[in-house]
Amino acid sequence: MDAWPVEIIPDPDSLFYRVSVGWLKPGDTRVAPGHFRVNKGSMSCDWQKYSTAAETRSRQGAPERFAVIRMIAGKVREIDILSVIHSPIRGVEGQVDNRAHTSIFGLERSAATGAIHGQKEKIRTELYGQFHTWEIEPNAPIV
Amino acid sequence: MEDEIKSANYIVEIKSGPEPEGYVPYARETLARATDFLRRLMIHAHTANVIGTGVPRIGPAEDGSIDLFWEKDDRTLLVNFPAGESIGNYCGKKPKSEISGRFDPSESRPELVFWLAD
Repeated sequence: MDAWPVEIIPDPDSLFYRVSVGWLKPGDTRVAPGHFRVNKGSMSCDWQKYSTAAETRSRQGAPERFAVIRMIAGKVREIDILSVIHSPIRGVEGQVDNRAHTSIFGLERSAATGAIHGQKEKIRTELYGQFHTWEIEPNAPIV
Repeated sequence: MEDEIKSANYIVEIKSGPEPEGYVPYARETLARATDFLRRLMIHAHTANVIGTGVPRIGPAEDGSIDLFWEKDDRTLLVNFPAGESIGNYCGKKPKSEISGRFDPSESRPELVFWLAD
């Protein structure tokens, strides 16, 4: 099976980022800086070219357990050391094929040895400042 | 503030999320470090007659760490308490002023509330 080509994601394009509703305080559905996290070396999201927000929500099953934030690629790139790289997944054992898969790099480096103190908190604050509304709210009906 | 601290107990009940591999549970000790620090900070604010700092949101963050997050008008202060570590990190932003750094959560950092309230 051939790998999908890696494409350049234009700045105006949307990225859908999945958040577990288990991270939310009961009765409080606001986005929080703590929702922006590294998973396996980067922040994983889906590019709008190959995914809708609803598809992102349901990609791993149990969509009722997730909400979705829309981020804008160019706005992410404006933040400190963050980069946005299309990284489609195909034929990887244990992972669902996903042509939309995109990695946001930088947050993982911000807490590494030698990083500027507080840089990770700064990046998370800026991500929150830019993207603090839900594209799909927690507990939204499944479509 | 005590209501927010009490309601933050849900954090230690959070189970592994969508990616159980590498999941770090939220420990009561981490939450206690965060809430003890918050109480000390607010005592300083009270003693110094600093008003208007507001109550932070207490929430879960990456790798079992816990955040205190103040968001008030045009300013924010994010303080993170890593799991199993004795060093915390913070970043505050307001117009024409930004602060960031590391700190020992067992110490008091009254300058943070002064910065927030100023």
